[in-house]
Amino acid sequence: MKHRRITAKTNWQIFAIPLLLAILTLVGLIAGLLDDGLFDVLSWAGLFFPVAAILWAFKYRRITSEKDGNLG
Amino acid sequence: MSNRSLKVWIWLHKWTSLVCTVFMLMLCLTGLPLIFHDEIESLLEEDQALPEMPAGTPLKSLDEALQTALDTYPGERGLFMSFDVDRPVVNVTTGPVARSTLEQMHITSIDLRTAEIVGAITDDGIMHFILDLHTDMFLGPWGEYFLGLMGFLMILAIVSGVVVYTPFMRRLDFGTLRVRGRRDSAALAGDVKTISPTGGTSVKRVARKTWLDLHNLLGIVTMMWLTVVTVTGIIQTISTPLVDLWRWQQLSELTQIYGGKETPDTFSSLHEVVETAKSASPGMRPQFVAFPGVRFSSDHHYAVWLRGATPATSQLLTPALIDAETGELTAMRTMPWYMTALRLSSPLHFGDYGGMPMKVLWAILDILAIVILVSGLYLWLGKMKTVRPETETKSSAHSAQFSGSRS
Repeated sequence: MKHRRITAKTNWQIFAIPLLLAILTLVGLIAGLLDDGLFDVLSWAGLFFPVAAILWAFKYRRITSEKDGNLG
Repeated sequence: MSNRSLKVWIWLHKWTSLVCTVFMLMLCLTGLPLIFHDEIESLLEEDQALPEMPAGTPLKSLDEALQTALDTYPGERGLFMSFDVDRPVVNVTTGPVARSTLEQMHITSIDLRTAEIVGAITDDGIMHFILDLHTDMFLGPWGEYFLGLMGFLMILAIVSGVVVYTPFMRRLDFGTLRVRGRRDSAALAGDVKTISPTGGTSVKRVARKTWLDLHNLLGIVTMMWLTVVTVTGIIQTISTPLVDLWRWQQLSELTQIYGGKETPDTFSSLHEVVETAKSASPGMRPQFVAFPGVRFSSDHHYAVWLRGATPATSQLLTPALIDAETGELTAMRTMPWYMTALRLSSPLHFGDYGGMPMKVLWAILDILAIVILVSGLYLWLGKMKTVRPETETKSSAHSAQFSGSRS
């Protein structure tokens, strides 16, 4: 099998983005509780990040089979 | 991580998810309309518009409103009075005895400008049906505890899912989605021999990878939201025992002061009771009044439950206990930590504290959770099909899948 040689990622590399998204979500959840107005906007932003990450992945992280032989 | 401990985590993820998936799906599906319950209810509700009155019409006293409700249901006594936020309406709950069951209670909405009835609040609408299904599946407290247990399994599934995510992503960038290309057949035909020892076609294999990547991506991205909604849901399932505990603690303190006085025969004026409570707590609004003897007060007190103005403090109720005989303020009680947790868990579970954009985001995240559940189920079913013949292939399939995952 033709393997693209990628060095194994460290835990830190694997979880950097998920951790950031988790923190942003939490900030959003708490901000909404504190007050209305600007804090509400902050809460929308916080909760939008995980959704945005998914949209981003759908657009930019799609690997089709012919583009990358490495399916294994 | 050793292959051995990884296997334990995989086992944990598989079984904790499998057991709770059906219930989580039900909760996600019924939860979706509940996010918009305010909007749906106002659409479904019969027109309860208040009659036009000149602005500045003086309000009748709360005692008159109470009397209207009592006249409507003779032989009953007042249990609760709650205050609408956006209109001059109070809702009076009456029942035959202090500890009436929900079925025995009547709730009457009364226009404070006329002390006349606006309408009765019934709980047989579609939203109540959905809420009951969501809360306890019509099984009462045991249904609630059961769903709480399922929530606990869900937490285990999330934690084990995050652990299992790690080896998958050793050689993949965050968010990678491996999907079928357009020139599939030709390209994939070559792959069959190399990557499909168990006999599945490689197109199916790619489809499986796509589902796996989707499951991983959605799961890891929504883990914090999922965790918060699950934990707050679990807290909600034990609300009845928590309120009982609080009442018991509070009651034992009060009986020390009052030496177990009986519920008085006549109560002091409700209007004055609320005014006393208001003046003792500037900046707060009464949310509801619990009459003496009912669940949310003591036998000898009115409890006026006051709330603050922000989304958080509006959840944190402070009861002002007012002597039912003399109408004097006995004490203001702040809530113990577990009641604060219970109260704050409600908005964090339903996502109804940040306006419409938050509700929409909440609904999107809820739908993403459904996709996670369904894709997880799909992946498990697919695996069942490919590895059922011999159990041995199962372990080899696992080790193949996780080859190169040692760290």
